[in-house]
Amino acid sequence: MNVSMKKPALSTAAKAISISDVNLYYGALHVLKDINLEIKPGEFFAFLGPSGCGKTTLLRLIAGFNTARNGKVVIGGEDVLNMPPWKREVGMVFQSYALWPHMTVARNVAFGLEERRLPRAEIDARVKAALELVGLEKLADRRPSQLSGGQQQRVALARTIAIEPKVLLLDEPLSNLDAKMRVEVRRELRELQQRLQLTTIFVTHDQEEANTVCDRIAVFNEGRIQQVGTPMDLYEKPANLFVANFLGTANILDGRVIGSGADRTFEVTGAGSIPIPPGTDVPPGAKLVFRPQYATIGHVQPGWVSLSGTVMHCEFLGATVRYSIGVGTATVMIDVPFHSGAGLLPIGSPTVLGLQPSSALWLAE
Amino acid sequence: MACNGTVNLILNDWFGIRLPFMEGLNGVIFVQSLHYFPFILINLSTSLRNIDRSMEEAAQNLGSSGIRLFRRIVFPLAMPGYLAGASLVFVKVFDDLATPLLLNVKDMLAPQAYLRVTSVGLTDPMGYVISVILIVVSIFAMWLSAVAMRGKDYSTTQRGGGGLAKRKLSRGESVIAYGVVALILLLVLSPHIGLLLLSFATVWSFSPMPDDFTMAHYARVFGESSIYIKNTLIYASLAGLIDVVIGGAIAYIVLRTKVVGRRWLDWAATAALAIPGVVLGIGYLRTFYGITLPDGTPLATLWVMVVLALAIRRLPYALRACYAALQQVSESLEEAAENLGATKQRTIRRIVLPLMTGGLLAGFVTSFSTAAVELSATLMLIQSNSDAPIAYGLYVFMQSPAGRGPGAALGVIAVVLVAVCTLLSHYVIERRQKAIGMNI
Repeated sequence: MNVSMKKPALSTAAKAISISDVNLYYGALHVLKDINLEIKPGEFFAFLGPSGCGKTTLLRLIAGFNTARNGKVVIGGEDVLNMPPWKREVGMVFQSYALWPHMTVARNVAFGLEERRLPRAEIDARVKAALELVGLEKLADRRPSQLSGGQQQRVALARTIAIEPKVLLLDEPLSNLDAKMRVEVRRELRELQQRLQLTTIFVTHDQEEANTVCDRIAVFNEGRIQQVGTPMDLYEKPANLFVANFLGTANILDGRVIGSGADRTFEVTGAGSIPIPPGTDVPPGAKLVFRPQYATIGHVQPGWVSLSGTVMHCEFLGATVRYSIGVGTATVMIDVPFHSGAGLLPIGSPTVLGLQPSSALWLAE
Repeated sequence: MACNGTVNLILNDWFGIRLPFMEGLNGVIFVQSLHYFPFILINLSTSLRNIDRSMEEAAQNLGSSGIRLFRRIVFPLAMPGYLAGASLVFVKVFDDLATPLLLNVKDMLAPQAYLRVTSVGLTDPMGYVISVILIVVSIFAMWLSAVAMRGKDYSTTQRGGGGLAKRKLSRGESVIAYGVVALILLLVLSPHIGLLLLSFATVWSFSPMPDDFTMAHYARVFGESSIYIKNTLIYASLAGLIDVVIGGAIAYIVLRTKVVGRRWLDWAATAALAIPGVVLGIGYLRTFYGITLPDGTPLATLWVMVVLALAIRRLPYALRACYAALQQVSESLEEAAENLGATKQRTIRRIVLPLMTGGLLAGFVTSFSTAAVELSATLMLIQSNSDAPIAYGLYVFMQSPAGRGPGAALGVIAVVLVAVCTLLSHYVIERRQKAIGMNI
């Protein structure tokens, strides 16, 4: 009994992932375009983007289920691009969990270890350790069909980490769980990843999931990486209109640049102009972008710029009130903190918007 | 394949050997294996198609590949289809009368039951004893497969579907794969080729190929023996029609109503699978024995009995097709019709039936084409040549050496009939599904 009490820790060594110049085609369709990415050892990294953007395709490429025409996928210093999936030592948790229904939980978890022809004693010990890690040691003899969605998800995770993979790939692991479970499981995932210090890639289309658990995020659109950065970076300094719009709410105003040098201004179509701070990079075809909480309504602070508009709509959200303001031909959203006793602005009334120039961004497509 | 068949003559010429493929029980085993091989193939390929691709990928991801991957993941997941196919084949072979009779193997249960009843008469108790044994063993086999499959129907626990990943074969592997497939195809098609040659042959004896070719057999079959074809079309169409009507009704009752005992209805209809044709025939003979119509015709041997027997024998197949068709019609489509004021009857007529047409047609064709070549039950019930279908005529022709040519021609007609029906139904169903934008 004493032997089994000595829990063998699952040992995982953090490995870096380096992807360079990867292009992938499905027939004539160019699915992944010039992918270059560096993921640091021990990092919790997210592939974020809308459906069909190529994030799962890239994950499957790393796992070996897709093949690229060119480029490199280096894991822990070894190029794995031409290696079959079973030799890559890359652990993947599938969106459907892919638990084999003809095996018990313990047999599922033991599978990868048996494939590696490990001694039975070690297999048993590692299965036990993996199941303890996810808190399912009591359900070892159950069949997958006798488990809840959350439990199945944890078995899939235990099965993967039992082989002590070089990296962990999670393909939308929370999508089959209800809202409450999702919050719980994503916290558990983060804790587990921190404990194991395992380089992890997490595929999701939910920005909140990516923001809350990941160290860094790569935002995908139409087969291309749009930007890589920490959640805060992406929110504060989006590289283009797509990233600004995909992460959080962004107000986007059409207009054109007038003047040059230090006197440049941005004329918002039908609503007035805003001076562009010196040194600001304004790409051709850029639009003015700002977040709802970085503007005021009804008053303009010193040094801020003002735009005229009309109150179109308001939503009481509890801590804040979200106003929709018609500005020229566009409508923007402004969040105003709610104070007890304060009234709401009447719909249809004219108003002014105050905007802090340093919080304004000029972004192109 | 027989002692003096093409293959053995060639083997004898080239190597001086003959292989007893078709001697006695060997022949029965050989023919039945070829005949029922599609049952296993269809079940197994459906099973493989239903395996969630991530099941295989998860195993590869954990280090498994090749034969081990097949043995540990793919095969166990495909097992239900394999078992279902195997048990069905067992039951069908077990109760098959035509093959052993044509191959002159008499010491099997089904031929014994037939010969007892036809030679000794209906009063011989041995016929009934054999019938009971046939039923008990058939039911036991189906029960065994049900027990073996209990808790192993994985299709509902897998979410993805999509089948296994396609593999790229190396040059050598491709050669082996194509070689095996070609060999199997040749084996499966060799009876058809032989039959076709025989149907056009003037004399074909002790030579690998016929001496000369003629259309006389077809002329004879279409002339004096066209009654067989006409009877077959009538019997099989009526049986198919009865099956689709009853099958559709049972499917609706079982899937869409809460009628007490609907499960029993389902089992009772499916139980026909376990009732050998010979037994069904004997049962009919016994039940209606001695009852005559006002004009003196004995009821048991009236052609209507053949239609009824065929309909009951084929009901389980039509029923499965009807179930599948009804399952494809989402209940919300019916609810929408009722919500807009249609009564149950009108909903069935205007919504359910039109959407089920493809499935019903598939059921009809399955019933029709299998009933068209059924011999077990008909052999028991047919008393006069004028009432006989193709399969019976084929059996009668094959009893004499002179009848082999016309018999083969009749066989070719049966094969063509079934093939045309199958192709036609595929075509109609596909067109219909495209037209209404299935799947719902």
